[in-house]
Amino acid sequence: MSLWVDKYRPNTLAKLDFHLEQGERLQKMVTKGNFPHLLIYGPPGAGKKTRVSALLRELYGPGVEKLRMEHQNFTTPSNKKIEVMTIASNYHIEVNPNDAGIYDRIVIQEMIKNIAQTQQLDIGGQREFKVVILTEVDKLTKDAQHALRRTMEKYMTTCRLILCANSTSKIIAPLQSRCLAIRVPAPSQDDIIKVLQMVSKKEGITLPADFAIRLAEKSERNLRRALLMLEACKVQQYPFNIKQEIVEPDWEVYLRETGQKMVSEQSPKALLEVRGRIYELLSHCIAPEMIIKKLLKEILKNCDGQLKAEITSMAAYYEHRLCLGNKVIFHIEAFVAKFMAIYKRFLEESFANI
Amino acid sequence: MSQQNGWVKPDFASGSKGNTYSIKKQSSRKTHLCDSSIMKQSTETNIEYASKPVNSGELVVQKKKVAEVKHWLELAFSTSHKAQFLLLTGPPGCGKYQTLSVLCKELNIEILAWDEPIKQYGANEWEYGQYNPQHHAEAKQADVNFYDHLEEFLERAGRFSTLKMKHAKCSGAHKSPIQKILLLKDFPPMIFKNLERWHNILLKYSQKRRTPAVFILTSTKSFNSTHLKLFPTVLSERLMMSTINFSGLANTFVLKALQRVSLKSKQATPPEVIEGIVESCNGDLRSALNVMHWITTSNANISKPSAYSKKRKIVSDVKTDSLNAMYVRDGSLDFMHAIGKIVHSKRLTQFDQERLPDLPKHLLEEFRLPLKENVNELTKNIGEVSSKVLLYLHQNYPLYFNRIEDVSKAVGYLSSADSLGNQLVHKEIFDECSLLIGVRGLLFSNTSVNGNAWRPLRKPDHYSVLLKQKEFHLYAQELYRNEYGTSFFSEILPFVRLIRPELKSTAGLKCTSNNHQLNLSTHVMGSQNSAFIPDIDPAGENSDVIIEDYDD
Repeated sequence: MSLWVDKYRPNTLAKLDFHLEQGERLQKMVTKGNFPHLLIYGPPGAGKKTRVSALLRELYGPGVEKLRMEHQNFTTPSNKKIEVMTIASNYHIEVNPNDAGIYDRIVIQEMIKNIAQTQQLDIGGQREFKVVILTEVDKLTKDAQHALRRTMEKYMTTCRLILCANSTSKIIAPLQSRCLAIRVPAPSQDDIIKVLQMVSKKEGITLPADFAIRLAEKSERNLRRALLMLEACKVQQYPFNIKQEIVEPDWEVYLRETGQKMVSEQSPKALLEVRGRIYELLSHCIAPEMIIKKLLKEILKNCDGQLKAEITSMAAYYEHRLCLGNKVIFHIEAFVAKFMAIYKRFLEESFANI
Repeated sequence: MSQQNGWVKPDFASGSKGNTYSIKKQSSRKTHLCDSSIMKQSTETNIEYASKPVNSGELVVQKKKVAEVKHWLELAFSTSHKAQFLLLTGPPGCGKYQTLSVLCKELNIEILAWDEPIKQYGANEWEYGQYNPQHHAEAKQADVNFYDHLEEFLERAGRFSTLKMKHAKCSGAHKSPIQKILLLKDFPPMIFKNLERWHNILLKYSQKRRTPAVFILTSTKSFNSTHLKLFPTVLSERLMMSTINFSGLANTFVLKALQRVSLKSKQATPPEVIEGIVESCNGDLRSALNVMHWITTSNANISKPSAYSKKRKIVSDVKTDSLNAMYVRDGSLDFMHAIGKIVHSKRLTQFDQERLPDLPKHLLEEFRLPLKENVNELTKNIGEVSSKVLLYLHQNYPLYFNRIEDVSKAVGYLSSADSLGNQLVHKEIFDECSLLIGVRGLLFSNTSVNGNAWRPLRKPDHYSVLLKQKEFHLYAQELYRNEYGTSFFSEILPFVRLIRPELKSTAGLKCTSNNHQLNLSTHVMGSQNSAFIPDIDPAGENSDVIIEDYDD
């Protein structure tokens, strides 16, 4: 049994539910045959992957859906072995180069070289190029991005790249200029409600309009999330009650509690407690950037206007440090401690004024 | 030159003149001991004489290590020829050579040691006469020569019959067939100039399968790099080299040895002094013996009470005035000890007023009393990778702080240290800087006086968290194969757990449960992780309220 998110994922460009005009343009691009490198970016849950897979199907037909998982091995110059998991069909290969950490450059270069060096024998039957999909490109190291630049030009005849990213801000300019950048914006609330209703109709369940609105609000314009929430709610209680609590990811609830703790007590002891909680989240593979982001969101609720600016800049600073450094806990903890110190000072000042 | 009838000079007294290779035998062992130790007097003194272990029972090295070496030696001379190379490593003065030599004596094996020649190689008469006539004297580069030299030594030493012939006179009549091992003890710096050559020499030697060879490598702080340079893993695998790692001697061992020596030498050393020496020697027996020797020679003048006072000083304060403390060694500190010193951040209360800087008004709050420790010395002597030190500091510092403001400053420094230390180029420099920033940052930001309360130092949780991350990653990959980005864990997995009842109990952060403990099911992680969250207080009400607030 697959999840509803996967089950009702549109598999052709024609079946897309929103951003229809963009879908049409993509369609036209495929039929015209002049297919460039693509850079598809947008917030999570906006449908980037869906569009990519629909595009592939449009390019190569249903054969592209026969996927196989492969583990590929690469060797670094320092003789370290890296294993990277790829998902491939006969026509394309998808890889998340982040699995290789700082060795992503080698993975990208080797892999693209391998693919691009084989020419299609029968050009008449299909496209003369294969497609390489790289996900989470914004997390690539600068080194890898520069390497990609050269590789892209060199193998243009036999291979096209589709890069997926959340934002273009971390992608170097030369790379952006070599690709056709397509932004997939987050679906509007109405779009989400429409999809939710459609899915529940297909599943044969009734979804009250109010509940759909609440789901859409709670999902923060993330369709994937909305659908997962719907399914989770259905498992918990069906038929739906309008007052029903909407399930949230447990780690967010956990992080919210952590934020409350930070606001309620500022001492070295409280810091140790928060550290324990952050360690717990980290060991569940929650991305450290997410932790800082959600934590900030939570504590900002309790802050005064001018404090907000100060704390947000702190968060930004330590989020940057996070990327530079090696041990994430140092930086998250630094943010937590800085907040505690600032907040304590703020409390003391406001008490003094009274 | 014409009188030279062998390539080894039997007379060691004249060894300094054109020294090429010297064969160490039982009779010459003492000379060798003098070479390697820092002993000032090379003549027989009571202590030195008494300190030499006679049999393997008297060795103060761990019994297990002795047995290991013995096993290797037996293996080396068994018919299978499985063992040809042995590498002994360990800190200075832990008895590597003594173990080997005593065992060899017991097993009736001769040690053939290579000595680094003192003279310029080119001027070597033997070489001049026979080997490379065209490469004369100064025309040669010392290091090239050095390799030739080494290679020839190995080659010659391997040729059993030659050696025996040339040596029949000095090694005496052997009834049993002589068993020999080669010993390479000191690796001169020249060896690093052309490591390839060195490796080739080793390989070549190994192919001929001759006399077993033992290498003794004194490991210092940079142990890893030297070790790996000289014997890369690939090479040692090919050579089938066994490595035995000696650790520094435990204090009790040193104590035992010193007591025995002092008994034997009939020069009573006060027990307090012995204890003091033991404390400061850091597992280095050789230096301990030297210090003891030094003290006993001047013992006539030192009355007991004064020695006693000295010892007290050492125990209370490691860095005492060098003039007063005769036997204090400023070697590396115990790792945990150093961490403790840093987190305690002790400051002087008495100091020279005039030496304090005049701070402008706005900086007055940054004023600190002088530190008790010399930070540069401290960081130099830690002897661990800086990232490990930082992790230990990070794990333990908050307990030593009273004010959150200080903590926030301190952890800010740690964060800087970490981002600075994570560089690929010029790693050593950045590492050192990052360590200094971390250490000094912690010392500077701690303004609270902590007294001497004892707090246990904890091992960093970092490692266990990394391990768990890996396990969890694998688990998730198995669970749900086709999506595996980083967003998977935060976006999809929590819902999947809710949607699929069979997974409901597994791998969750159970935050709605009363005690806030995150229970990982045993199915995923294997073990509960109570140790890894330091006492989270079970106040559950708080969180429930929050959830309600949010939903409204």
